[in-house]
Amino acid sequence: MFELSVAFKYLVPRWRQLSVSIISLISIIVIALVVWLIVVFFSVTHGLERGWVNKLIALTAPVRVTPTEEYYDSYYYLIDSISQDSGYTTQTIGQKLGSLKTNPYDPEFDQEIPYGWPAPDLDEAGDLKDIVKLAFRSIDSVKGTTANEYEMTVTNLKLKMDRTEPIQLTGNPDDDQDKRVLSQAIYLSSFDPSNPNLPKIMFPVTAADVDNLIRTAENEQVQSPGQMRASMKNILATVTPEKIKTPAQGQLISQDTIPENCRLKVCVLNSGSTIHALYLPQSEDDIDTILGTPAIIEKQNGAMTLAMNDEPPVPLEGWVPIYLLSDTKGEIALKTPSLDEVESAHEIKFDARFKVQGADLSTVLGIDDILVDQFSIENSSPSLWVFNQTLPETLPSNPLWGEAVLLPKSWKESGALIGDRGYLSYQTPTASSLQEQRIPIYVAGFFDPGILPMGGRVLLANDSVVSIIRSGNPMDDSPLSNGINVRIPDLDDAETIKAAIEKNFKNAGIERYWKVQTFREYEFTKDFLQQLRSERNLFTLISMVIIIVACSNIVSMLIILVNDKKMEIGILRSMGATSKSIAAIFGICGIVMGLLGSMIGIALALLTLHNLQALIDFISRVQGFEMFNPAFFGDTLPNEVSLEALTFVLTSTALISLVAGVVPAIKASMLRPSAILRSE
Amino acid sequence: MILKARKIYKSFSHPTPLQILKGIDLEVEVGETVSIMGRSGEGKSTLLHILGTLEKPCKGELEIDGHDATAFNQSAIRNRSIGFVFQSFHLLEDCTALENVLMPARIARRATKPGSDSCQHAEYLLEAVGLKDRVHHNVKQLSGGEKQRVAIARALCNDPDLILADEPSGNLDRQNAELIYEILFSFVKDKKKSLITVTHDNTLADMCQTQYHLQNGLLAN
Repeated sequence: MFELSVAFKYLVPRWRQLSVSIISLISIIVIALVVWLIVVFFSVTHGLERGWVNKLIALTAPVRVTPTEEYYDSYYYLIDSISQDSGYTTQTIGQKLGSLKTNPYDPEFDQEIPYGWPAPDLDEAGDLKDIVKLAFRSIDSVKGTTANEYEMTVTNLKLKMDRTEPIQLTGNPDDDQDKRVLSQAIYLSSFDPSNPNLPKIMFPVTAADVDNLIRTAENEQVQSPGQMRASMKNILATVTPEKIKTPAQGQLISQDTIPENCRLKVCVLNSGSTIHALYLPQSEDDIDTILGTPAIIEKQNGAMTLAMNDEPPVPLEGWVPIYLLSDTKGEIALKTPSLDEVESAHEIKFDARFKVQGADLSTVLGIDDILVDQFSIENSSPSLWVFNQTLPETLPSNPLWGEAVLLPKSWKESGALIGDRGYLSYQTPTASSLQEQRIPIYVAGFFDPGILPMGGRVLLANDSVVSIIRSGNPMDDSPLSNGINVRIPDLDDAETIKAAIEKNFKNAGIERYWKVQTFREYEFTKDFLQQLRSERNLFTLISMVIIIVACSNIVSMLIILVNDKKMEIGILRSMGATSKSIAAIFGICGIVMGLLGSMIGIALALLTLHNLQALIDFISRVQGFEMFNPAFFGDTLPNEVSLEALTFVLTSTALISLVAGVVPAIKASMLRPSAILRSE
Repeated sequence: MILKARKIYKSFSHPTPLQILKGIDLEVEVGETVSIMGRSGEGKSTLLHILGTLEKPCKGELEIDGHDATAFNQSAIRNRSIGFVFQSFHLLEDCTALENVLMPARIARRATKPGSDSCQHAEYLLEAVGLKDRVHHNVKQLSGGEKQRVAIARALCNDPDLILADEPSGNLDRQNAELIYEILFSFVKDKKKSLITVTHDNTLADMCQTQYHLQNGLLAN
């Protein structure tokens, strides 16, 4: 194609066309910078938006089907309240789905249908339409969807936090409260194992959680040794403490622990010649960090000697406590062969091994002495808590501890740990008054509800627990309380799937009983997502303007080029080049510049995104504070390049540079060859 | 008949109204050589540009190679049927001699890669005009006479039937001018081309079979 070859010839920088070359270079640089900015910004915001959306709907689903008022006013829903088969109570969606009878009403036994009740909605065969089952069938027939019932209700949670850690002398006296109770009104939502987002937002079990589980089990000793034993067995079957660290006040060890013929540096706490205690640091280098007199201890033939201030060693007389300094790391293994015969928690012993200043110190520690630092988890064992990444079908329930529940991050931040126990309280009406009921619970894990406005107050429990509490609030028929979560493989398909479900509902004749919403329409996401969308639209508009400004340089460059190449245009025309070909040459010049700038910009953007975190860390270090608030943006910014952004910049720069090339191209094509050739 | 012009009128309105051609009639047979002489400003180049479809007449009919040149795709006529040779050579400056000669073939969308028919033909033409060793030289490195020889080779690239030469020796010395005439006429003769040339040079005019004088906007024998 001769137009292409001529255009490329024109684009090669030449000394003779210095002004054209400089303007071209500036245009390409400006376009590259704009493209870089747009791709990076859109990729990051797109990733953030996706992350936020995932977090927002982490506890629900991208599509939700909720009963309308017509459902709650329907014969189908109300009939349970006067039917013996249904226990004279209205049923949840889940109960309706599981029930064998569509119409539980038996005129023989049940009271007469009250005057003015809605008429039953019958199908073609004259049977009562099973609105719930038809709904599930309609949803299931849409490819790629899975439907699950959800229930939510409001209740109170009281959580006792037993902390038996020793009082830290250096700490704030306010921290010394041994027992604390957290109490809050919460939204109780049903745990849905099919929710793919849930494993992603679960916090892993920490050493503090394991410690808390052990401490809580220890405390059960007070109630009964049997209960303690059962709990301890349960815990140690699931978790194996592997490494420990010594507590803040240090770990007391006996002199027997010190190996023979081994010189160890210690720090002596003394007043005059009276020695109160010896502190043994893990590393010799740490000796200078401890207050006290540095000294060396040595054990020979069972007798300890102490050498202080380069003086000759003297025998260590009397009983002097030796402490391993706080945070000394060691390895442990369970010593007690069988927990079945243990009567008290103190009888559970561990073999501990500390590597101190090159020497192996072996000792035996009681379970109350160990502070777990590292542990391994037996995933095959029946778990007490919900592990990260592997969710059970139902949350565990322990006859001693109660029902397992999952708490949001805010509780973890308030100091709650896995193993903490408490109860959910709710009220049920009796003939004369409201009676408080309690369901014992224990914390089985924590999840990050993200930026969900009420996320800090959502608690997840098994369906059975939610149903029991929700049955106490029979009038609780808001859309939040009961509905169907519809999960789909791709968030972008939400609208299409919503339309397909609505169509199926219509075909089944149940469309008036159900409201289908996508995540963009939920009341708790609507405003936020609209805000995000309008910000993106605004930036798209701004970036279009910036691209236009950047591409306007192309117009000036091409006009100069056309003037420069006037004679050649005349020559090409005399040889038979059409005016369209001439226009195409300059149009190609414009597009090539636009695309070249875009390519450079995209390459820069990919490089930036690849090193985004390092770049942010560097800027944060330079300016002295976090560039992005991790609470809102997460620990790392998303750095996946957005295809949407790439398509946007490539098409818009190509189009705008083409438009920018049109004016000079038309100007070039309209030149009269005769006039040009004669002007020489 | 390769060219037939009937009642060609041309006037310019700017800066002052001027009737430059007043009904030119011209017929050129295949293989005929025609010279047009006249004083400067009489409209010789304008007439040549109109005959070469580079400029539109105000009135009149023009037929080239059997096609109505006022209605038919003029670019295609220029590319296929006409070869121009200008006084100022009008070569593409950033190209080599070969690239210049090949440009009409490229415009005609023919393959111009080394070894292609067009390329071989262009090399033959450059050899024929005595520039075998200058094929890959940039035209900036060539002398005036050499540039005009490249221009002649380029005019013949697409094997047109009509060559229009506008003062082909205007910028050359006598020796070079005669060399150019020789080359031009040998091509015209060998390949049975028609030639219309505008010139001040009597030698060139005398070499043509038909001589015209442009005077007061009309052609006279």
